[in-house]
Amino acid sequence: MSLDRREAMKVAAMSAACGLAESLASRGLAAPLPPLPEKPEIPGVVWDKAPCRFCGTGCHVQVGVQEGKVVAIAGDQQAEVNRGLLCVKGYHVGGILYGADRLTKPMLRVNGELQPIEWDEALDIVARRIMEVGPKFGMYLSGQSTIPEGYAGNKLMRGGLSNNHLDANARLCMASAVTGFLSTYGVDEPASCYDDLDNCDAIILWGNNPAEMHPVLFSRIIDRRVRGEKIEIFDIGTRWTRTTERADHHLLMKPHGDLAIANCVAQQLIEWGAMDDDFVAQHCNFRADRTPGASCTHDDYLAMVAEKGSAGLFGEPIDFEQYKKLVSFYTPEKASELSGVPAEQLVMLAKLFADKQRRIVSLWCMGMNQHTAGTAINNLVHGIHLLSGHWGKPGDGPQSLTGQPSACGTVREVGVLSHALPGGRLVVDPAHRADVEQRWNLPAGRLNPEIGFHTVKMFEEFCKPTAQGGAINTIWVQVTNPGQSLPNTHKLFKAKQGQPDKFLIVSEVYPTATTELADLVLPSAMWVEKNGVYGNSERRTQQWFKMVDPPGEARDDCWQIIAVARRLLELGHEGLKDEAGEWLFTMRDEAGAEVPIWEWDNYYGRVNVDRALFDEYRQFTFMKHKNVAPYDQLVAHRGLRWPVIETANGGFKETRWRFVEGSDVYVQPGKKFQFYHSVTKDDRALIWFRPHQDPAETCSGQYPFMLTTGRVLEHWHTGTLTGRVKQLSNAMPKAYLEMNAEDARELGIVNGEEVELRTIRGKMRLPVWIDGRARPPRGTLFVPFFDETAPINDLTLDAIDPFSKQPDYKKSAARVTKITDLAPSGSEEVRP
Amino acid sequence: MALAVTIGVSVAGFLIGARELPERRRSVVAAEESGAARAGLPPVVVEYLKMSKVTRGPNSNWTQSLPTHQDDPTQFFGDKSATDQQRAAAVAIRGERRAFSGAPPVVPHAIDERNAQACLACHGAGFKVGQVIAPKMSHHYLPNCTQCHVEGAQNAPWAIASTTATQSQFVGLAEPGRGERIGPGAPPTIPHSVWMRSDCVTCHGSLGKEGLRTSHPWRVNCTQCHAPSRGFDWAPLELPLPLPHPQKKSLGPLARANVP
Repeated sequence: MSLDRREAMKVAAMSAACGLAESLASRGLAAPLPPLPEKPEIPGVVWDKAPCRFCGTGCHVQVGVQEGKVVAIAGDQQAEVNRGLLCVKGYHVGGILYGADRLTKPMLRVNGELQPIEWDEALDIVARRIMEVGPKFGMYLSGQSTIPEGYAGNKLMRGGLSNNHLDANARLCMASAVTGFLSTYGVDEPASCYDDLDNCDAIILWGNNPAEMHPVLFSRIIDRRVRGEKIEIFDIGTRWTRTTERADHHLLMKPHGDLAIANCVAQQLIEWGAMDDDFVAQHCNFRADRTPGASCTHDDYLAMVAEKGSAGLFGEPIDFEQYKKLVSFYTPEKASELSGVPAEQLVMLAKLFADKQRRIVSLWCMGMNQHTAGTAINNLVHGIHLLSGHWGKPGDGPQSLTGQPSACGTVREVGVLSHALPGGRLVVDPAHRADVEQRWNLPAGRLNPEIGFHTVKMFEEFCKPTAQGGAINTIWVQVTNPGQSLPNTHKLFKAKQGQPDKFLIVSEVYPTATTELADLVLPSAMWVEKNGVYGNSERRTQQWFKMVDPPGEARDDCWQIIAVARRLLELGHEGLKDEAGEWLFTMRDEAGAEVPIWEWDNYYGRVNVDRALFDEYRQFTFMKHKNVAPYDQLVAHRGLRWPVIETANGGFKETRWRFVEGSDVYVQPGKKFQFYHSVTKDDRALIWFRPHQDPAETCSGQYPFMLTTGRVLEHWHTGTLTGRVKQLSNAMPKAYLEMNAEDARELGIVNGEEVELRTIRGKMRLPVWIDGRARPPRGTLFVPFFDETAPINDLTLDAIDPFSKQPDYKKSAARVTKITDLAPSGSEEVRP
Repeated sequence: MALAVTIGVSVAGFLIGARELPERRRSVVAAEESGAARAGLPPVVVEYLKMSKVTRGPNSNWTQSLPTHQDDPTQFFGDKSATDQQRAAAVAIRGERRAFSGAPPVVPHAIDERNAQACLACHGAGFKVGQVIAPKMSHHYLPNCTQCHVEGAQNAPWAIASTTATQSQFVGLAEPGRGERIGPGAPPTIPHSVWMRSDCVTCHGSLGKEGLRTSHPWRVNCTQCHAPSRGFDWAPLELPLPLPHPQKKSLGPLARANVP
């Protein structure tokens, strides 16, 4: 039992300390002070560490439990990420467990109503459904699924069912960062870490508002000013936010202006001869969608790519002269015209990159990722850091942030994406498939070689009637709320209604927009009601133990997957057996006896299932040099950043900067920097040429405004959890429409007035907030997406990036109408 | 003659107008004081001469006499021990604004949504006007106030009418009781963590709530007698206060090329 082991560890540590004290005393030395407690000590309250349940920052909290309930949260003072500080969501994270409407019983929709049923029946329904629909089954997991949950889902779907229709909601938030890293460095995930925030001289925020979205990291930056350090903040974005208030420079851009801005920096660096010639010569190659001809101008290039299409995610090689020629188009004047940023500001930004003395960190999150040119802008930002040599030194380099606690750990590393296998392996690579089959002891050919449906496609197929060829019939959703978080929800989610042959299974903790249309609801345990492992934005893998019991009959998501896998075996599904005829999830105790972990009563028993799954998964992480630490090491730490290397004395050492000699052990001595997973197999990173592209939707005529969406400080994603916390929902009770004061005046709209907001996809009424928490420029609107009573994704567009398949939620053409100006009967066709 | 009559009438008129009408005045003040009595009606105009004596509006309980704002020096050294009731009342108010003991309090008033400098105007040093107290920040200076402190109720125009019915069964950790004393008359230990509560004056100084104030405000070296607990403060305090200064190394010679 985990508790017993922890007790044992404590005793061991104590006796070691006492032993040391005794031996010192015997030699006449003063005894050292007793060790500081690991956690707060308040009578009657038991404390333990856990990563926060919300964003990808990965703060650690101490959870105080009294009489089986979470009663208090403290910022973990020994955690490197947050050093005792939290944001308002983090301090109130304990409250998310105790909303009055927790789901506590499995429910099946009978005659349109959800009726309670027993777990046994529920598991049976899921298993029979999977047997029945075969390849028409899809599984939709989450960047909030734990690593063992993601791994179990992966094993069930790909290993058990030979089905690659497994994707996760991280597709909606991180996919463009993934393709950006892959096509630049040949391997996913940031090379840098949060230590850079303590060391840099300048921070560039690319469409990022960390003051609200990653407040602990933002404080880590601006607290430095309190200590008398100088740090220059460049805020590149489409509105004035709380972050802008702290910025030294605000580069207010048009939507998609970032592409021209980054290209302009490259153009200026080349014009000035201010590139880092040595770094580029030794460590970089150049790339583009297509190799241009000798005298190819920017316009010729665009015409050629438009005709031939891209050569794919990894493009075609170009040389520096070709790159220089293409990028020369983006003079400050031209880039200013495309981006709306004054030329002087573009020159200023380029000068920053030209200055080799200063250390620069670029941060980004959804602004660059939810972008129809998301892969392109990710490439460009990496590119200007590489071109200028602002790469790989402490405080100098690009760092992407994640919005979910384990988008990196679970989705990207475990491979919960339709094209991926665990540990950076690919579905289409026969060697990778064979490797996975061998590790799982599966017969050759068990893994399906065809890429499954990505998120948007999966829900498109699900909503398409079977008669019209809809290729997905049943989806099992865990730990996410696609009914509110998918774009264009009328098309991609709500169209499911009225199709009786489609079946939606939802594992959830509260009623949501997704359970609204669910045919089967499974009540889940969450956060410290279960064991778990998460992985944050800086490659830090974090473990926690179950601390309280879930309410009613709510049970772990991981157990649900395992129990269904067992039921499938019992129903005779051959895929659930490995080559030796053993069940895929067989676990044995120390004596070698099989433990029936599919029975809930045995799930937290003789084996720690999380530990077993995690340590099994760990073997997959070595191939791409993403070695995660063993589970027991994670127990003893507030997370460790991979690759975690075993040292000569049997200890484990984390890695702060990848590909950098002295930090990353996989870099050969003397190389200084080595991109050892390079696309071009020569240890070099790629500097891409990526042209400007207009957004998918242009604002004009009937729809003159650009509608953007996002989060707010108090709420997290669709508000399912934060909406149940009084302090958070009182501070931010509902969604609003942020509007420029001049625009409002022209339309005769006053602050607080309710108006109709409309795009071609839908409409809704919202109160207007003028000069509120943030201010958009003229022509821009903003609506947060947390409010389930105002689901703004009914209105957002579902255009996707061609490589990452990530939707662009942030640039929908919209119209605002005063209620009194509405035509009595809507003359325009708008979908219901 | 006509002029004299006019002046006479004017003077009489003025005197009549200025004459105190005890009945009416009393009713005005009563109505102002009761507040609710005038719900829906426009407020009664107060005579200019009486303006300073009438209390009304949201700050009606503020006293307007400067001497009452000063600490009475004789009181400073008097017995200031709080009663159990006072202590319970103070703890109850604390509880209303916190999800649990140790949670950052919510802000009981409208805030500047964008700029935290406004917070510092009052909470930087703290002040008290009448019964209204703006407590001093209890922790070292952290510039991003709204990261942890959000409004207890959203005050934006679009949100005022919205009712939020958050149904939660969360029960937070109760505020701690008194510290331990080794014997009668001994100084009690600090019964809570001092992390983020390192400035004792915030709650226990003369701007603290009645019931939490120290009985001996002239003593300013609190931890001389009141011991913090290694149990509550379970990490070395020198680690994050302030955050460690980063170590920087030189990047070598300047390589700037022809940057204008």
